[in-house]
Amino acid sequence: MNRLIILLLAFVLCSPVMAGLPYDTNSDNTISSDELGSAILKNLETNDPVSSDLSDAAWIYWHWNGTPLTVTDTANQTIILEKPVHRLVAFDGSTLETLRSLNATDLIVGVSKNTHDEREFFPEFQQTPSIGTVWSPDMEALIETRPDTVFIYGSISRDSVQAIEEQLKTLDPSIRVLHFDLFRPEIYPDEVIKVAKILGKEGEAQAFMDFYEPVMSTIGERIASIPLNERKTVYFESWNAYKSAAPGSGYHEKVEFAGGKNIFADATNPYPVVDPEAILRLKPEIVIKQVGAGESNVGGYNDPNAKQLVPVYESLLNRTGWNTLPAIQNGNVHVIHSDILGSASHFIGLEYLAKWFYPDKFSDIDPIRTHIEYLTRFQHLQYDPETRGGFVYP
Amino acid sequence: MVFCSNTRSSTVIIITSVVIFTLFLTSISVIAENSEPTQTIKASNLSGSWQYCITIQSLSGPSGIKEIIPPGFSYETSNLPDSQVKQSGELILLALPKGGNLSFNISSDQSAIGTVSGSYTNYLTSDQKPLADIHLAHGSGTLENISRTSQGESKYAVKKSSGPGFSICGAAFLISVLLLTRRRIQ
Repeated sequence: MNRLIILLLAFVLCSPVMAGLPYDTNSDNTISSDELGSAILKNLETNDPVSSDLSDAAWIYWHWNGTPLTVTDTANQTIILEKPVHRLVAFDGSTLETLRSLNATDLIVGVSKNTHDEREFFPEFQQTPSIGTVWSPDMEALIETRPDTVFIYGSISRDSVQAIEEQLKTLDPSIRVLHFDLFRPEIYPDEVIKVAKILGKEGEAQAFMDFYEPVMSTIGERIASIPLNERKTVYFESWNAYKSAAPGSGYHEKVEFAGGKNIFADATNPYPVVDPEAILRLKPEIVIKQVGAGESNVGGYNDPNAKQLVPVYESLLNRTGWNTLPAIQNGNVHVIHSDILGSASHFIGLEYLAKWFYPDKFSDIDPIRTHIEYLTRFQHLQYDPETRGGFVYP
Repeated sequence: MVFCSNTRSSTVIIITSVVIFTLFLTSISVIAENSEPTQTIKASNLSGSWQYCITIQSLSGPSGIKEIIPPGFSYETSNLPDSQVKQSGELILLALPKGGNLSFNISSDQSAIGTVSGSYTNYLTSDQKPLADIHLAHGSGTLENISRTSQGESKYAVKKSSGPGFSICGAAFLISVLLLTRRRIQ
């Protein structure tokens, strides 16, 4: 605790006084061309190194039209940014993954503890300081990274997020906390554009959207042509046995987006633990089992191949009474890893779901190609998911 | 205001052709590495004095250019507002808050030779890089040499420099113009 107080004092003493936009000499809350031009001339004349204030002014002029940026984040909180982001802490892997798509990882100074477990997917962050997790944050480590901005969940784990925010406000009120859910398909494009604007990565965001949006719109358009009463019934099971998903959860939305009819769509709890008898009664045509954590912590980028997923698959087939399910009888049971369904890579998982649900409609779609292109072009990873890792079975 | 445009009207077609083609030949494009910034020099002889238009293109983001012109040369004008230019003796400072392209003119009398040296500062990245030197030299009425020299490890080092003003193509062009004119006279 003493260490934390010393750190806090050091921050207070070292923090520059926030006084609006740099080089806004007439205080009209805009850095004009003349204001920046004369600052540049003065710098050229004195031959001094470019000060951080001057490069900030140039950055704000270039990326934010010389004015502060007003952002309303996913928690519906409006923040006015008067300085660019220089030191960023990302509390979750989806944010980190998205920042990589935007070529913005050079700003990262702190990552979630879980990132250190993802040595294959996040090799460049294995030495980046860990700041714990949303559920068990290491505030001392977080403050030691000297962030100016923290990105944290917008709609999930609200209590934990709020506790972190309150502590940060006490420790260093100048740290800006922004909330994003960079894993939810329905808001992902908007969030990517917003984050890109904050970080001055609009060009990178456009390039990524040119890749992402056709994938999503192809699924959406083809599914739209299937009448609701002809859609396949789906039992989705999360990492733990009989824990399903219902409205209010991201997995329910994903099943529906891919054209499935969730058999537990009327559950009131977004993550209901369902009665095994109910599954037998509702007779799903498709079963989707997610692995990657909890009781099914197998597969993903760290595993050498998809063999780890086979026992999970076989255990589903052997569940009591499941031989009566149409899904089992027709070979429509699939295992998928949350790395490609519950994260910023959700569009890859959605391609798999859509193809499994309606193979005829998606015969020309090859999710593995999408996965490879994403890793190569946007994640800058030399990783072949065709031969490595465990993402889907069969 | 027009920059880098030094054509001279004339009633004699052959003279116009020669002037235009000479301008073409003495226009040297130098492509910088990493595609930014690129630089062009155009030279022209007007009423006994030489005028050079130096263009630096594709400045990405707010930028500053510092140029030192050699003795005997004078800064004339640029495409920037006056508030974004500062000149003191041989030193010219140019601010480009919006980046983009910069053109500025310098002039000299017949005998002046020398080297324009400069540097480029990108205020988004705080990177400062030397610009390749521009060597200006000419003789009595004929352009002898405009060249750029490499700046070693500079990111914006010049890949290629050009030599004398007239080439085989130029000679062929002039001969054909002369032949055509002669036929018309006959």
